[in-house]
Amino acid sequence: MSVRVLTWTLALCLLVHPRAALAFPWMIKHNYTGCQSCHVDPSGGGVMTDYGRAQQQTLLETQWGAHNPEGEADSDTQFLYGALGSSRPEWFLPEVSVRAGGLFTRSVNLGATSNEGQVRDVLVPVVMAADVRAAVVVGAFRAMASLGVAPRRAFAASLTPVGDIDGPKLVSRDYWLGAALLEDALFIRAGRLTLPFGLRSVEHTLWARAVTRTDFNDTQQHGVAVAWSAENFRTEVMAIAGNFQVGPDGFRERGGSGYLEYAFAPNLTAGVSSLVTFARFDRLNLEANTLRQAHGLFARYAPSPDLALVAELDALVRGSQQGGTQMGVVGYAQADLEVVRGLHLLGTVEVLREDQRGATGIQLGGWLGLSWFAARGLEVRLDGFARQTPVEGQPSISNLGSVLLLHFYL
Amino acid sequence: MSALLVVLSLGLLLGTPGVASAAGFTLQGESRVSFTGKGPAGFKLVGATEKLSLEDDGQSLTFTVPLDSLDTGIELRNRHMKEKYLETARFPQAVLVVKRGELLVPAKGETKSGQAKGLLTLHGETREVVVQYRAERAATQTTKVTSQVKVNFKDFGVAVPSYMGITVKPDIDVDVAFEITQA
Repeated sequence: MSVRVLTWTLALCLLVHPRAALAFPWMIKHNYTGCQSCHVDPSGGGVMTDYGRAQQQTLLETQWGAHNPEGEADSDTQFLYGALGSSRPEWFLPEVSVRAGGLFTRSVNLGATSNEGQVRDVLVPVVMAADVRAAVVVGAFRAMASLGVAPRRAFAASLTPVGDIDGPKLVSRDYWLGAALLEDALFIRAGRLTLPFGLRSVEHTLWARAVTRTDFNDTQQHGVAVAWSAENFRTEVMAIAGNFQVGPDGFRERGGSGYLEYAFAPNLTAGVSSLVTFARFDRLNLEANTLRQAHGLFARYAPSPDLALVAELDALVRGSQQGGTQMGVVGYAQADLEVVRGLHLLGTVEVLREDQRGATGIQLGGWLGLSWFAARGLEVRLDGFARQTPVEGQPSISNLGSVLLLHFYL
Repeated sequence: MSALLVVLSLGLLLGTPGVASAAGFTLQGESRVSFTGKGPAGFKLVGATEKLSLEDDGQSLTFTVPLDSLDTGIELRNRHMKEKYLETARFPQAVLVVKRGELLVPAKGETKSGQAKGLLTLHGETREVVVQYRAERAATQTTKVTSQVKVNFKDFGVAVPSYMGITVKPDIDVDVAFEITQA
């Protein structure tokens, strides 16, 4: 793969990948070490429970004027600002998530000699999510499904035949049936699931999520998962049967993934995660007999109610018929400072060592973000990022950019 | 959840057995009373206060926790705890009384562990509770005490805390840590 193609691949990945769900590991600031109180998914993200929606108002959003006069969650915390009122049955949990805006990137490739030049600017509109999701909770029975439109990419979640991967398509990122048993501690489900691995985060373009293919966007796979949520730990392991929304079958990965997170204190957790998959042909690298592994550690710590620190570091091992065995590492550390209620400043550093796709050496990245939960159901997010990719025998490629997004979660 | 906090507060009161002797005990240094409530799927909430008082009349040790000082870290949850469950306006304190004779007193440089019965008053109800404690006395007069009490808030007429589908189990763990000196 040429350096120019690599540059544009990285830029496009940053710009166009949708992200679909709320998932905030920094909720540990409020001593929430588990996910299941606020999310139907035992590992977090996706459809919120009524309790989770109430916490959005209580903990997430900027409070304007006198709020919560009765000390209860307002009715507008519910689906579409409570438009369904009491007609929505308690067992039915619908929601809408739209995240869209614009992205600017500048790729600087001093080694380029083509007509495309050494500096390339791109300004594009982005629709990271336009999804409708719903869950059903009846006794121990659980079900969840999502349906959305992806103007570009997200082809691995496409429900419609993919002619042009950058064309619009109907997507379903996750859907499953399950049962929550033993006072909801044991959760068994089957369907298309976000892989249980590492820190589940909305920032799906983080290298740790993208390279391990464990993001919210479109890397979910079909399989069966078992989760256990206890007082001091939570875990989920999944048997991966493959992504049946891509074909032919040779592209589907089989294997397993899982994590175990232990809460040493209400504000301190640490965990391990592991992933092993095999595909006859890797759908991204097009290499035969690819065995893909990631094994790592992660941690969350909240030194104060306003600050959360999260970090993840994973070892990468990839073996294939053409490429042999290649080792790598990926990780990130992020600080989230809530300056005032609802206004978050985020700083992130990333590292990636993956000797493939034309890159060599250690890649470094940094993000500065502002996330403002400005009103009921509205998040405004502005990120600036810089990533540097060393290239053998040439100057490094730099990618700079910023993303402004409006996120409506209703 | 708020109710759980109240229960925990009570537990704190219970959980402060002293190291008995003829001389009077007084608190010194920092104290911490915390409670832990549990719910479904690993849900857990913790409330705490550093306000704890001790009276020693020579026969009994009386520990008092002002329940309004309990903090769970979430303002709305605090309000629910105090207004809907503990009803701190009517029942502002949790009080634990332990007879001195129930307690083992370590000598200087010694550590004693045991359990003692006490009377806990919470939410206007008084019930007997069992206090597990560990008292570690330094070479001086100072003794560090940690104690645990299990409290079922139903026993005290506290409503079951429930909010938006999350219901806290009635059994609450209360942990108390303090230092005392002996006159």
